[in-house]
Amino acid sequence: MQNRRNLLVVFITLLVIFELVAYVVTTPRPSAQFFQLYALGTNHLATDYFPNSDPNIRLGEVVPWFIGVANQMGNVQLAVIRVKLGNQTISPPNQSEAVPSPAPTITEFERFIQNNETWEIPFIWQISNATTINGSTEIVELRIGNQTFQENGLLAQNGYNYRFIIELWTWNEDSASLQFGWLSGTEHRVAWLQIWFNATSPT
Amino acid sequence: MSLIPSPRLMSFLAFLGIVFLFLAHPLGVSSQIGDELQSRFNGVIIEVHRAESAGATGSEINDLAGQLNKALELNEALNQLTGPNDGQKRQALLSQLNDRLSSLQSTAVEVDSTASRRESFNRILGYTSGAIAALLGTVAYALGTVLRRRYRIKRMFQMRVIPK
Repeated sequence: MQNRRNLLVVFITLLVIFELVAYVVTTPRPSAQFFQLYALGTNHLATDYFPNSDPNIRLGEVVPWFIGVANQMGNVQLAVIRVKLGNQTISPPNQSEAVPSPAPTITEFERFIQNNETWEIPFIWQISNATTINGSTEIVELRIGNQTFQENGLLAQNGYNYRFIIELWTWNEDSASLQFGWLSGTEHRVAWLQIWFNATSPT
Repeated sequence: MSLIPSPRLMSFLAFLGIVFLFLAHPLGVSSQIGDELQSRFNGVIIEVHRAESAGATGSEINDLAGQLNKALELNEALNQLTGPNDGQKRQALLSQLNDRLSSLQSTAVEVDSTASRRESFNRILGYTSGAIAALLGTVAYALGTVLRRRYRIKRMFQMRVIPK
């Protein structure tokens, strides 16, 4: 009788241990959900963003960057990279309230990225047309990759302090639309970058 | 007779104006198509996420993501056709996109059900293996106990009594 009771205790103990192991093995562990957004310079490094490390960009001067997004959300995500052109006075995105920058969108790139996947695009740009009137420079035309984009109304004093604002937008299933940043649980997070340059030699 | 039109005539003219504006502005139609596509895209994305949560393999997800990106390219091409003579091309692309989304949706549903079944099987297999391992462990324990007991008895009979 004592023997049987011992065996039952052993069996139940082993059952609990092995079933716990089976549970741990078959249940996916929750992990932190996030995106990474980055911009790299010519040599795929976080330096050398401008030719000869000179942020004063001349007309027609080609500036090659790489913009990338890494998906760590645990599933396939639609990522949209919005590239905006701003000057010194335009507001950047509001991180705490997840509000995008009001700067005009020049272009955007979109792709579905798998979990743990990094999507990188070459972002090769140049100022193809700009004007200067009374000390105010205006970038009129930008060339990004093979496409040309017209711009107007964005002035900078002597061409100083222009910036590219790069925002990450994702798909929100609940609203069936794009949202700035992403939802991690109930928290709204955003990722954006800005790189300053001067258009000081437009002619 | 007054030259100022009556309020009834004015409201009729305003109504005509609004009707004319609506008719002259065909953008509403394209935005409806956009909304419909958007909701279809959303449905497909939800289904893909479901398949992923159900435990779809990397290659299955890779295939679905590839198809999603092709649908995205078609949508982009569709958005670039804004000219007045692009109607036919637009229609053709739209039908291609619809076909792709339908096929994507059905593939995602299929992957979801396959993955669910596979995952359930794996879970049952895991828990059954746990129970079998516990049973085998208990048998080994019982066998060990019996062997130990026999060994003790054997040793007891082999003992010599040495007088002091």
